Amino acid sequence: MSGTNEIVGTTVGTTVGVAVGRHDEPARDELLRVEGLTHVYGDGRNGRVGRDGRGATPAVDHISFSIARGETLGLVGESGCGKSTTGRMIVKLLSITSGRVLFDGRDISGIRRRADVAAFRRQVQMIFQDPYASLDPHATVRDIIAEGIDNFHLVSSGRGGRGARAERAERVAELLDMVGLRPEHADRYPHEFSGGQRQRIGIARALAVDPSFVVCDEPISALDVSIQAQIVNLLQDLQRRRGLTYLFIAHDLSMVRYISDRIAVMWKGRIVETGPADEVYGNPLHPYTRSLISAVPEPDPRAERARRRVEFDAEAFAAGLGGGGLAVPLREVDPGHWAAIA
Amino acid sequence: MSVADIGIAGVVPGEIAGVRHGVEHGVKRDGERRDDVRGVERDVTHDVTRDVTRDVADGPADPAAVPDALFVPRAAAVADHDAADVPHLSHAVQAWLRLRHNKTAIAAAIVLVSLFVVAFSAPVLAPADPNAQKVEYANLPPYWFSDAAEQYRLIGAQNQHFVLGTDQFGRDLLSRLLYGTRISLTISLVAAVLDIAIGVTWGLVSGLASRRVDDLMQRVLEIISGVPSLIVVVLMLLVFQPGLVSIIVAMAITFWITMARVVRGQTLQIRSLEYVQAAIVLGTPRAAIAVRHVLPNILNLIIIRLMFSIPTAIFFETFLSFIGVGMKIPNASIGTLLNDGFKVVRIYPYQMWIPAAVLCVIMLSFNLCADGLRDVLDPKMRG
Repeated sequence: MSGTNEIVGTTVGTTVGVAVGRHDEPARDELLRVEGLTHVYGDGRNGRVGRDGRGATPAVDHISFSIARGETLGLVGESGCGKSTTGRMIVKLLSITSGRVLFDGRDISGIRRRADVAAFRRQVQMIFQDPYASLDPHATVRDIIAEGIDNFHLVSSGRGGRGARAERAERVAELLDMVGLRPEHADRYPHEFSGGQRQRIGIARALAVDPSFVVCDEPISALDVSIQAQIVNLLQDLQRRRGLTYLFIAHDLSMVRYISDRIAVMWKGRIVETGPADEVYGNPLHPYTRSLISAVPEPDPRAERARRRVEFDAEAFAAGLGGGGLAVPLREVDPGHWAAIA
Repeated sequence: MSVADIGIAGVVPGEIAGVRHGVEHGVKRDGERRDDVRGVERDVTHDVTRDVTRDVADGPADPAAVPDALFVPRAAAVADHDAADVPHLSHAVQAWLRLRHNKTAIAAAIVLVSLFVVAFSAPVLAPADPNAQKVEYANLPPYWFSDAAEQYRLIGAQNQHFVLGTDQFGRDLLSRLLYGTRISLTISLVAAVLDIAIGVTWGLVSGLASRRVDDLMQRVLEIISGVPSLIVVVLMLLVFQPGLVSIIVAMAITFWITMARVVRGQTLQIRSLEYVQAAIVLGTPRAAIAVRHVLPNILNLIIIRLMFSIPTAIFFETFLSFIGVGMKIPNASIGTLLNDGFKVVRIYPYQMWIPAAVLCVIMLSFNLCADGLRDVLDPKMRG
């Protein structure tokens, strides 16, 4: 792995050169590695518009990052910057326009064979944003949680039969207990639960297949603030107990700082800064990151009064770079702390 | 724990709950209001407790004066909230509980069920062979009409009792009506089966398939729906004999289009929801997604659509028989009965009005039932 940056041209949309930064320590035990990942909406492959390529929108534009085993990478940025698109490409919910996703050293962007996809699905799961939309309203909690168990025949007693059903029920009870719900809740329907309880069910469903990597797509942004902490603590607890690796997508910076080991800041489909959480938070290098952090309210009223919102002026920033547009390659400013600045 | 959860328990050991409540109010209120409260307390409570109330109410306003040891959690506050949940009911049970209150829909359903029972036991119930002609008994009114006895006597049929009279060939109209209703209701069942078997399947596959397959299936649908169903029926007459078979084949070709469109639209909508996305991430095969996740969630709309499309099918058959391309001649259907009756409506009005009334009852019952089901199953569409 070289420490240099390589410049490649974008395929659709912008004509500027975009950097694919190889900005990770080579010694780390990588579980997931993303290289030059790009998704273009409306390229005629997914969307129902712009088959000829007109109106194509590059939502994610040649981003690269990696996540070590047992680590949490927080992906932050404003609405529409491509965070969720990135997460959805990694779990193969969206097609990859270009670039590679290496999971455990294996490129998963091209896998098609049913057995390969199934093996990947068992390893990589997702927790969804909206706990009201992510649970099938006509299924009982038992069936929701057991969906992955059923798909991969994870009950050892074989298919069907009373023994298998009892074992399935037992697994569901264990999972409910693990996320802090009561086993009696298994026969209920999702509408009988609160938002926080539903999100717990979503977590149990994702962990039922015993994955090693979980994409958390804004798992707390639809929840009450008092419930957010519960869910984040549950996620951290599960990470410790099961050795999980997270990609934690959010726009709430304080929560992300709390749960993440490292943070990647996205802006307009690109990663503009990445580094250890406290480092990015305490010493933001990119003006966009500074602007983002300045928008976080302070819990202390005196500090809050003193807080000044820093505006990010993209045009002035581009002018300061001296041509070449906004697509600046990431460079390592401090050890492990990369930023797309001149 | 919120402030409300902390009662000042143990101010006076053994005091009753109602008085303790009064104490809390006394402490909370400001000076003037406190006196009002105390006045009320004095009226309601006994001597001992009144003194207690006054003591606490008149005591120092500083909350620090109350020892911390007296602040203990109320038992209710630490109870498990989950334990008090209401029993859960399945969606079908909830729907039934709501439907039960819709008197009109229930009445319509009872009428429909009775019609089905009566019509399908026609071979048992019918007093005569519906196609047996006896020309000398032609055009007799129902025997209970006021002038009927005279007419029956004139042609020497005093011991005959035609409940609904006879037609121009002397066939018993009650028997013909029973058999005709059976045809209409058979058509309704066929329509339901076609709607589900072809329409729902087509819509589900089209909605969940890839873009290319979906496009192809939609173009096929548009071509089929571009041809008027009447033309299809007339074309069928070239291949088949007129009768039930050609009507069913014509319906098999055209009738499920609307259902397919409704199901496809709903499927596309549900497909984009997060629980379907979650199922994909969990490795659920597409066919299982259709059956496990999409179908149960659009079942309401399928049932409603079905209940509205059945009357259309019945009406379609009636119309075809009425214009003479439906049921084969001697066989009865509501359409052919109407056609026969319509020709003599000025002279023997009962020959047209009775089948017309039965048709109305069938149509109305299906529609009222559909309305009631829609209110229950899809409250969003009410209005």
